[in-house]
Amino acid sequence: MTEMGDTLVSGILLFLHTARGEFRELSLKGKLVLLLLTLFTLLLVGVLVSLALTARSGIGIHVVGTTFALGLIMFLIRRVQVRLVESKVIPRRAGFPVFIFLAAVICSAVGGVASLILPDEAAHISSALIIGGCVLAAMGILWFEGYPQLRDRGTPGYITLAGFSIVLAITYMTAISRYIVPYDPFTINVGPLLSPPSSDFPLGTTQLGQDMLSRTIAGGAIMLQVAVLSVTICFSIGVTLGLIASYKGGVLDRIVSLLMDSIFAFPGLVLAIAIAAMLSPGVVNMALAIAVVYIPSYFRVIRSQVLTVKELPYVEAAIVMGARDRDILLRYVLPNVIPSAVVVMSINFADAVLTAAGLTFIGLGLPIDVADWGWDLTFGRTQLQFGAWWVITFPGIMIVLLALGFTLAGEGLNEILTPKLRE
Amino acid sequence: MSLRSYVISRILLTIPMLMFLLTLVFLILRVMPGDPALLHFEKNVDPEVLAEFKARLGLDKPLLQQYFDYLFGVFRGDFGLSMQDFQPVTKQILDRFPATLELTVWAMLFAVIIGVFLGIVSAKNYDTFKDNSIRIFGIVTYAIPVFFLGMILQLIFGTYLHWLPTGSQIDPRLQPPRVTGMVTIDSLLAGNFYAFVDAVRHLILPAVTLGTVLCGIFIRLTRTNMLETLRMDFVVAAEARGLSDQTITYRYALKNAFLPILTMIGLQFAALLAGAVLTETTFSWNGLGTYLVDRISRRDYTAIQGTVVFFGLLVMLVTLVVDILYAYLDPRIRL
Amino acid sequence: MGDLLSVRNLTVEYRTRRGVARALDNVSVSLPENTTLGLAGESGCGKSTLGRSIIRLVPYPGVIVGGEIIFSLRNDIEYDGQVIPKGEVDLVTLPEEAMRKLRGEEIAYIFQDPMTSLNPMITIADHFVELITTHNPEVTEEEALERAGEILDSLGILPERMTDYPHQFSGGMRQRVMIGLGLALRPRLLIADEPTTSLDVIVEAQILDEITQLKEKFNLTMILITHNLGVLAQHADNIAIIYAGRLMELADTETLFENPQHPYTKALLSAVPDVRKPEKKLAWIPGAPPDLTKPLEGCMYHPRCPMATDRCRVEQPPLVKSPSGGLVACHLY
Repeated sequence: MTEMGDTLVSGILLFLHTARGEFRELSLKGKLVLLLLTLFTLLLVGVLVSLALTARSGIGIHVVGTTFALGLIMFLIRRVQVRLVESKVIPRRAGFPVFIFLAAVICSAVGGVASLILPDEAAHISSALIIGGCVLAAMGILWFEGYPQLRDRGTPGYITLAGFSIVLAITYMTAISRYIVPYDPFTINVGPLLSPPSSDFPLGTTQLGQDMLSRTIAGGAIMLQVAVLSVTICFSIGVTLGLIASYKGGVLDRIVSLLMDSIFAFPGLVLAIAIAAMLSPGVVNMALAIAVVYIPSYFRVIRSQVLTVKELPYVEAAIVMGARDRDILLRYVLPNVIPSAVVVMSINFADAVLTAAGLTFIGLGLPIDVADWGWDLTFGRTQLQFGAWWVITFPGIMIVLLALGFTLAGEGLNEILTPKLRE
Repeated sequence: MSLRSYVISRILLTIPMLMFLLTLVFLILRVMPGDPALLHFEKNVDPEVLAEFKARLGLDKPLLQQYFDYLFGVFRGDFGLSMQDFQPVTKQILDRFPATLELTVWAMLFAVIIGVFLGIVSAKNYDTFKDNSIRIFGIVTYAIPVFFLGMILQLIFGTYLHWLPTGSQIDPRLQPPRVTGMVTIDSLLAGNFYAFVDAVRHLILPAVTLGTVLCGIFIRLTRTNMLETLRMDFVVAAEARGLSDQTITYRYALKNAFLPILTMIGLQFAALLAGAVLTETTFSWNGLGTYLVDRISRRDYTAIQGTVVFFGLLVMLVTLVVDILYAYLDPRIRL
Repeated sequence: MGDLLSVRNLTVEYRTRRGVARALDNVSVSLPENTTLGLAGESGCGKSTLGRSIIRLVPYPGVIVGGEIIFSLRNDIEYDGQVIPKGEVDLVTLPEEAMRKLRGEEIAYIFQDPMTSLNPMITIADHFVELITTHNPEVTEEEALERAGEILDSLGILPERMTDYPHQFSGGMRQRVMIGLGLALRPRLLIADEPTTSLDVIVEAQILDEITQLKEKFNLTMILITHNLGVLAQHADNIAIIYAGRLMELADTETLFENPQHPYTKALLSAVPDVRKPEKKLAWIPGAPPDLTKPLEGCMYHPRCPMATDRCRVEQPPLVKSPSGGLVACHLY
């Protein structure tokens, strides 16, 4: 136990020492950027805390505090796990699963306790805390472990880092939105109708008297859910189909490729509209509509990669040695194919967000009584002629930020995983 | 292979794709919802009325027969009758299509010109502030929902500055007689200069909006292509012979990028149409996009089906033309 | 006959993410008129960079950070309404527009790979017409085409083939086209960067002979860049040996081969097979070329030099007159 403690302390000291050394090495520009980033983060945290303190739910600060604590604990678990793997206490392959297991345990514990304290809100509070905590832990791990690696890759590394950070930050805000909003996003007449940003309502109010700040904080929930769901469906089907069809080749490959090309040829939104128009409104249906549109993207990318890898000598050697198709696919082909799939995935996320917004704008896919950035744009449209710019600007900027975050992450990953131009 | 055999094989390839596409649309819009007629009335209808309704639209026949009627109808150019007003859908589509064509052509033109220009500037100033800002611009414009951008522009240029109109294609008082359906051309044909100017003024915001969202990909394509080409031996050799910067940029580097840009125009056509639907809605532009959205709100499933098929056919046609054009222009295939 | 070109203390750096690499470090060479200077050294030693610096086309991210390249102009340069009088000019500080005029007219550069040095999208005739009309806008297209035909004819290419595209020619023919383009405007200085490295041996010999003949015919001064000492033995008047961006030895050809001074030169020569001595053992130089982002304080060659002393580690040897009559940078002298 004391050994672990020692390792921990010396680890922290070493980290601080390296950090200080690195700080000295930074150019003036680097120091400036670091300063700005720190100030910006402090600002965000400050806003978060002030929101939490004045939240409608009354437990805002508790929720924020708990998520930070949870995130910190999971981060420390990760650090300990890494140390243990390094000092060979646990085998390398077991490292990550151990971390996941421990993280799951602690999350369930927190969730369980929270459900006991607030039984009426059980589902909401536990999901908010768990997701919030996980996102914070992810952010911590990203910066701590990812930063050194990404920094070596130069600009693309920073871009990836920025992209992921934006996405994580927005996810965090959305996850705990219920507990930090000053007003219920949907209740009408909490304030004067259509009033511009003021001290009472920092982002103004809608034509129905709803608070824009609350709506902006909470409006991303649907979009994120739809995005995650559709990408999961899309990825699973697209990658699997791609692997199987292109590996087997022959008639199967031809038919599936043709099918994929037909779908791919369609204007994405139009197809999504067609499907969504036929299904009843809802998160799952919207996710399905979007998923179908993007399956061909994965399929094509996977297919071109598989076709290349299939010809490689070591794959042929494996076949000659009698390896089963399944093994070859999983152990040889898949690892080669994953980088491209990951890049497509991030672009997919961005597209899913934008398509979801588009569908909502047309009026498809969502029930009306939900706070959603897309809805804000639709409803706010009629108010533009009165010069009420605040009803659409803030939700719109949030959509842009979210899509931008995914796009940046995808761009950065693309350059890192498939380097093109050399110096 | 020779150009001729390529064209023939390419056209032959289109046929199965076409079949897939038509079948897919049929499955989604006719088979999946169960009974589109019932859905139209939101399940709230007298059975007799429903029966008559279905008979009139040919929706009472067995499904397989409906499928073949549908296929033959498409080949004849007949997309059925609208649920809303029992008018031929084809006519309604063709009525609204020219407006969409006008918008999309100008938008694409804008996207390509701006995109290529910025791409060149970006490539020639590699790794400088100019380069990086242009790249950021390209990324950000991709992440903006087209309708959000449209609304912001409406706000700035319409509501605040009063420079440009924010909706529809032309002031109704100046509307020229309809010849092509494209208001700018019709104004010119009618010799009405004021109408033309007004039509152009109405066209600017929607075309710029749609074009801006699409230009990002052209910026990146041109930039990557130029960077690659500018580093190639024959470009440096040309520089060593003292050829001017202009010659090298256009005759050497850009010429190489021309074909990929052409292909990209074809590839982006689908995205263009999708964006057009949203742009038209934002700017109250009376085209196929607003038609589609309108029909959706009225649950006019036959019209929706016709429009979706039309969009699909359009994209296929454009892709085919671009592929053939590409084959024609690429000297390696031609010779 | 004075020097056509004089490079003085030229320093070129490549600014990469991994660090700043000194491709050339205080290099000085002189080029008397109508002579051929051979630049020899291992791959990456900086010889190409030197050639590219003279014509001021150092590839990104390279920058000329110091020194002068003095070129003696025979005519005034007119550009953008300004005039640079004939005489001696420093190519490093020359405005880009003036430099552009020089390229092709006064200084020509031939590249290594003829397969990729021509624009695949235009015909051979177009290459010439472009060149001629860019430098002489008054010339009409017909006149330019005529001129092009003449040049191609002298190279042994049938004028009818003028309308063909580069990919329809063989490697050797393409290189001849490159040479034709290089000499079309009668420049005074020709820089040939590994002109025959990608050609087979027989064509190589032909091309080199043709270049030498052209040099005689047009009174050219030439810089021949290659790692192949055998080629230089036949076609160069003086040879400069470059290692890790620094000049190691400079001497006339005969002296260099008969009486090499620098340990590196000696090592290079012993690595070249000699047809007359088939039993000669080929030597190799142990170690690897140094990392140019970390230039050494002393002599760059000392880690691999059998004669290295403590002094070599700390003090960079200056370029001094060698006993054989040339220049050498080594503490032995």
